[in-house]
Amino acid sequence: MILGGRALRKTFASELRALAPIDFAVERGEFVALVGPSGCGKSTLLRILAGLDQPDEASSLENRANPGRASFVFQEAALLPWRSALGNVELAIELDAKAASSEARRFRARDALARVGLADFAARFPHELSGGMKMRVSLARALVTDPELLFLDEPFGALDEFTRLDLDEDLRSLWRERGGTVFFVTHSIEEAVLLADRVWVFSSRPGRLVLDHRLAGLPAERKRELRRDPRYRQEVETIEAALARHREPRA
Amino acid sequence: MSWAKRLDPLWPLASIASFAEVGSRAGWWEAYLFPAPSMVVACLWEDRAEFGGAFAETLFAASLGWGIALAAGTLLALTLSLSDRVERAFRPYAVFFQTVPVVAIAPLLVIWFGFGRPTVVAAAAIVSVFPVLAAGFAGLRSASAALTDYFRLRRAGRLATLFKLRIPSAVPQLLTGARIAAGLAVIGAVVGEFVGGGGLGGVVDAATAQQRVDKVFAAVLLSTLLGFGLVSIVDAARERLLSRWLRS
Ligand SMILES: Nc1ncnc2c1ncn2[C@@H]1O[C@H](COP(=O)(O)OP(=O)(O)OP(=O)(O)O)[C@@H](O)[C@H]1O
Ligand SMILES: [Mg+2]
Repeated sequence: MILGGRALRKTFASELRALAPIDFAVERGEFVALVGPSGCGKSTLLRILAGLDQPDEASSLENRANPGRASFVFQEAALLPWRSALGNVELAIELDAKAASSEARRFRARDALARVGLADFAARFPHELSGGMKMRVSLARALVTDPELLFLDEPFGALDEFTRLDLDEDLRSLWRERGGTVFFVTHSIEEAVLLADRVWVFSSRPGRLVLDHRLAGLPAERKRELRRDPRYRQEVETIEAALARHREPRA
Repeated sequence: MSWAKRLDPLWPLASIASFAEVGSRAGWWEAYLFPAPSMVVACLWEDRAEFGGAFAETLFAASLGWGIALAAGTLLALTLSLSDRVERAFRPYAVFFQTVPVVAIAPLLVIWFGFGRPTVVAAAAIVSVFPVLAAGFAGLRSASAALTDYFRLRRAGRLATLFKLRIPSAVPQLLTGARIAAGLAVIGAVVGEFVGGGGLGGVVDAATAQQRVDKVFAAVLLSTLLGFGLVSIVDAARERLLSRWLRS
């Protein structure tokens, strides 16, 4: 187990309950996707798991990843506009506790950019990159520190369908190459099934874990063609049904 | 823009100047109330040596005061924002003191610094330091929530966050503060010269006493040009520096 929670809950000011008590355990090396209606507490859970927010008292949360070995990809790319793509990736290494020589930094950053297909854009600044390219830089910045735990909060939500599928395929194969535990929040059931080995479904706020579903029947290699596979469609329907059952019918 | 369009701002000037010229020569009003533009130009030419010296003096005092304000305001904002508590305590004053009228405190400066240049430079520095300080405070906390979270998640220390995130984030607002400060520094210097003597402010003061309205107008014209020139220079520098920050 790398992440475990018992009776984990979060209440914001004025009694706004964002997370109902939830229990879970994530094993090392798993790829978990979390889907749920808007505002149900997905980002809240992710921020708590990453240590950016605190859960309510009496919650128990265990994070067995080494401190500093977690990375986060936010919904927006969150790049420093005054640094090139390479400089932005190097930032992650600079902020690491252990010092690295500037050549070593540059080498690793170039390597990470190459892995996300941006080798030729290292010298470009964020304003010279498209939205999809910025997300790739953000992904490279997250991967360059070789994280044990990677959190992604709707990272490709603002991108067009084609770019999103490209990045989904890239993310899946990067994970298969390098291992590590991935926690991926998305609005899209289809994306969750395409990416993950385990899908969590949240109810409407306050978020409860209403389905914890392993996609055991799908191949390990996932390409967009899989979306026409009946097994894939079956999984999508299972999750859709669970979501529909636990969604409040209000706007 | 075509040349004809670029020249459009000149016609209001030309009309008003012609009107003033005609009106003043025809005796529609007394010349000591509002001189003919030709008289102002003639006066500028006649006393060019005096005006040149005064212009240089005011330019020097305003620039020095502006430089002091820039350095002091930036350093002060940096130091005070090292602690959240200290910053919370001081931030309102940066805004509050921006509204202190320099005219009102100018006599006080004479008491503190005596007649002469130190008073003039102090007046320029005091009015221009607060916009820089306020811009520094605002700029240092202008980084986006996502970037701030990123630095927190990477367990970045206070200094790393300051140098790699907060200071670079503050650059655009600091440059805007510097631009506002440049205009105020000229005003501060001229007001300082009313009480401290010397420069274009001194010329205005003396010419008023001699009822030389043409000379007053000439000095006012020069100090306006001086302020405009300084602001334009800072503006051009700001545009160049900002191009990378703004386009993102
Ligand atoms: N800092 C905060 N202060 C107060 N309430 C908050 C805060 N952050 C989130 N909330 C509330 O908690 C609830 C859950 O928010 P959260 O951002 O986790 O939803 P989400 O599932 O990520 O939604 P989306 O899919 O739209 O991103 C929402 O009702 C939101 O208004
Ligand atoms: Mg969210």
